[in-house]
Amino acid sequence: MPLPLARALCPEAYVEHFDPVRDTQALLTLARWCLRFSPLVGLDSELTTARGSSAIQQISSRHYGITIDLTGTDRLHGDITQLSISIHTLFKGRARIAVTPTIGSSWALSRYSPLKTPQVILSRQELPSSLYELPLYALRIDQRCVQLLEDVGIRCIGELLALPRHSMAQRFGKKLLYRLDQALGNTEERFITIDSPCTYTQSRIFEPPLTNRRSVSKAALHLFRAVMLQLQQDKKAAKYFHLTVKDTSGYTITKELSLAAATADTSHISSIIEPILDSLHFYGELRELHIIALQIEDLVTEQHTFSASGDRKPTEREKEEFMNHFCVRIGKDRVTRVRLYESYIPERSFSYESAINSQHDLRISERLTPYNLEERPSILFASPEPISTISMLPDKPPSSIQWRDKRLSIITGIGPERIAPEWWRLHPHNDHFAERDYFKIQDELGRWLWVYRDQSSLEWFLHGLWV
Amino acid sequence: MNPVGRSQGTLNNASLSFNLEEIDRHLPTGGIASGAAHELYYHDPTNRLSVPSYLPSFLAYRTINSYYSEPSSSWDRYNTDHFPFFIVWIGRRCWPTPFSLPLRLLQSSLFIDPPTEKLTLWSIESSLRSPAVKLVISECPRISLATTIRLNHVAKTNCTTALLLRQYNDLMAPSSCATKWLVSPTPSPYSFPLWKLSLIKVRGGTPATLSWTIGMESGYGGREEIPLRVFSTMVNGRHQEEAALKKFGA
Repeated sequence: MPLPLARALCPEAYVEHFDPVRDTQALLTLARWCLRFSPLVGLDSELTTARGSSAIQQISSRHYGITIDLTGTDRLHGDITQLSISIHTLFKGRARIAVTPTIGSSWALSRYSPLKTPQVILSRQELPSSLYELPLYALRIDQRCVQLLEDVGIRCIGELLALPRHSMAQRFGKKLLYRLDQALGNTEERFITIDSPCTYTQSRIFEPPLTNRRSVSKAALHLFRAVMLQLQQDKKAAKYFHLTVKDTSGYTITKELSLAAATADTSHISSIIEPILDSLHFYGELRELHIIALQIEDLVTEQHTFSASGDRKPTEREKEEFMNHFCVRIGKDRVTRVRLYESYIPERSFSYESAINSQHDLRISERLTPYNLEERPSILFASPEPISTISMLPDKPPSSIQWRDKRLSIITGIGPERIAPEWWRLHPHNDHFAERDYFKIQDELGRWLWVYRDQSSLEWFLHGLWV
Repeated sequence: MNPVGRSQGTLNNASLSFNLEEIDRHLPTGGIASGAAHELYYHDPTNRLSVPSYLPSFLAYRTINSYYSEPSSSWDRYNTDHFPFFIVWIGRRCWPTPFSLPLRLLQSSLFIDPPTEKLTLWSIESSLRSPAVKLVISECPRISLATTIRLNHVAKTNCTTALLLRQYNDLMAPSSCATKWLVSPTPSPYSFPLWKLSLIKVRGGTPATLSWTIGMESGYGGREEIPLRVFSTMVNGRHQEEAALKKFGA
């Protein structure tokens, strides 16, 4: 149906333009994800052949599929029927799945079977009967061949199978016979597997299982060193590590190590991982350790610099290692840098952002309002604290305030400095921000406090201190 | 000319000077010793949980300023090297108001918020161990003498300076810090705050009780300076210099 007609019939229809290159890339990502079921995973052979050329534009949507060779994986996953149902569930029931002894019959059943549930046929003898009802297109033959067959009244694979084999190639072409043999398993069919991403992984099964915590730490460190060695050999560094520990009772502990900067340094990773290993709580005896390094980057080597005074400047690697330590132990969100904003409102003029994502260079803020420390307190409260005040005159500093249950006499007051809402700026809290009159006041003890009166509620707040 | 924030002072390897003659001359190394832990206390009669903020900011600024005013520093270093090392602020309560601090200080500053006291101590020690860190400013939980010895040793081994902002209640607790300072507010006749800075302990220093009246100076500042000036010095309770106060007509 042409798009204008579809839009005329259904104006609210969402239109997504066909982009075969993007779709193939997405399918490739999905295929890589499927490597967890089998090491042999590939895209449809037609799609694999057309990838990277203009021919991909002509590929039918039927060829957008994934082939997984499950031969021999039943020992790992158990029952194949159960596995196919699990995969179907993982795809939220949207995938059409067929498990058969041949690629051709799987292709046919997954595309043309009227059943939406996974089709599992384990015996080759059952193939002819299962393919019987399927249309001729299920054999991956071209339209011309299908037309020729339909002209003689053959509309499904079952009717084709009844024809004499010796005349079939002469009348309809060799490819028909070839595809039929592939579907029935009389001819072997190969498929091109995708390249699995280079994995840096180490695992070890302990027999007898480990019971001593120190032995576990040692074994884990040994595996980490082995992974690091792999990375160093390829001049790579990893930013993310996944540690899985399994004990004899089947209990599994996973630890994720997300670093601020990629590393391939054995001693550095050991110093980070040691406290984490110490904090591992596993029950019973430990049977298996598994470590995967992910988020692989190229290893960057850095030359040390020296200053004339002999005071060596820290290298970028040392800074990264420092960040890694803190991000793993304290958390990425608790290691922050300041980001400044051009705003007159104190609490909106800065924020603390995770140091991993923020910029080192703050020169962007040269246009910022140049306050000095005489005008703004050295400590600003995260949220202003309400105070009660006694003022002799309106619009003047208070003569005494009560803060945290303490009555303070005010001996000096400077102000007001009015801070008004920034109406020119879109901010979700602009409507709630009222004008504030700020005063810098000194109490009898010599402490300087930064207080303001909210002009809408006429309430007083303490916002900061000079300490 | 304001003595603070100019490139006339230099930082030797052993100490971080205040660049204030009145204070530096009383310290055996001409400033607060590098590669050591120093303790700062804030005395607030009504709010015992406060920690000083202005003085640590000033010393952090001095650390940065000293780096850029080293004799070996060049135009290239000043203009391209915006992030030479970390100055680490540990504990949310000691984080200063950022929008009035020099940009160069903020560029090097890393603000860490450990969730527990145990992790605060771990953060202090790990920061002191790192070659990427020059100065650690941290709010400090109650720690034992053994811990202060340990922190001091780590700072000494790695040539890193620690400013531990401790609670006033711990002032008399035994400690192996290099210096112990007490900051307390003092009434100011000016439009800016004054503080009384007392040197409670200095390793290798004179036994006299030293205190100074310090404060920022009006008219200075802007983004690129943290001004600090000594208004009077008291040795054993007696005023030594009152010229500054007289100058301001106090």
